Amino acid sequence: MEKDEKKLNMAANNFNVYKVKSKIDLMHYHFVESFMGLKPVVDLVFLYPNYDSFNITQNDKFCLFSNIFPDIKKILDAAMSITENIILILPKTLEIEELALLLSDFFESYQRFEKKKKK
Amino acid sequence: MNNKASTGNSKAQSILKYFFPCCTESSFENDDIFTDNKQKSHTPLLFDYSVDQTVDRDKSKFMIRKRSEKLSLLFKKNICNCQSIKEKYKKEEKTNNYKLEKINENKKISAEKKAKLAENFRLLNSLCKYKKNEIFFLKYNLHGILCKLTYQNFKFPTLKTKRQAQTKSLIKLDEKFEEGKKKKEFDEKKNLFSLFHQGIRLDSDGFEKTLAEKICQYFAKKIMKNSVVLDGFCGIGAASIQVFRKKNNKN
Repeated sequence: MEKDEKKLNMAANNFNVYKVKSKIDLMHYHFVESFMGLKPVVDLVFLYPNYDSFNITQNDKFCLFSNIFPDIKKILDAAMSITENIILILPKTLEIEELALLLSDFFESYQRFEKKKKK
Repeated sequence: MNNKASTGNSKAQSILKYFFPCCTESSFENDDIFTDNKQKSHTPLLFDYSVDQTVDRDKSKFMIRKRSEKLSLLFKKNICNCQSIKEKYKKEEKTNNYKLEKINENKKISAEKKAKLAENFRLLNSLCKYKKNEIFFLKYNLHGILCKLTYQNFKFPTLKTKRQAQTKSLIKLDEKFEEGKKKKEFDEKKNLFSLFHQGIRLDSDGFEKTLAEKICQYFAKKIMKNSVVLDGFCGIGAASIQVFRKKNNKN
């Protein structure tokens, strides 16, 4: 899934080199805006969004909430609507407190899910 | 594509991206702040991929000027002293030993240096055979006597020939430096794709931001067989290649 046409054409060329194109279906959608109500049958989601590299250095710390174009909350909300199995890649220089704020929202919903099971 | 600004952080993002445009072009469509008539196609030059080449050229020119100034001084000194020495030894071939004794009296010199000085006087006597048009490039020691000789048969150096002779030595250094760069790029490309030179395409964004091959193989091992995977934000497709390279998975 990709939003730029140029990179899709490059990816199609690269899949031919490695002889993998028959197994893959390419989609020209935006990840956040495509899943409005729909729910495809997927086992796993792999995410490596566009971290703008101008602000990443070895010493500085990376702010999740400001440097990414589609916000992380929307990405994760769209992903959690599909499945619970997610792989999300993060940079090295990162503040753990911001990451805890993100996951706290999802952790509350997970607690309610367990309570319902017990009932 | 319609990528609208969603939250209040969009203004901060738009300001930072104006000064540091490493993002794709699609992210700058709806920035109404910076669409003046004067600055339609303005992009600052800080992080363009083509600017790095110009900076290296300016440094090389700057270094060439410094080195040329130093070498010009050496030429002038050595040529003047060379001509004076020739005239002396043509006339005073017999009194070479007398000059050695003077130098040894003023300073206490070790036996090794005395042998070197004696050899240098022998070489000077051999210079008298050469013609006037032939010029020598010499090097001096603190004791005021030759330590080495190098022979170069060329005319009196004009401006053109000086720069040509000076830049040849520097061009060799630049070639070695460029060869070192090419090796780095060659190694970086192999880290991303093992089959890079068999027809893979990239962008400047793709060359910087894609994950390496081994990292994608690490994730591919942990995924179960016969599972359906969705790769949002795939880009060039480095991660999805390694996952589906095995015989197990589907879409």
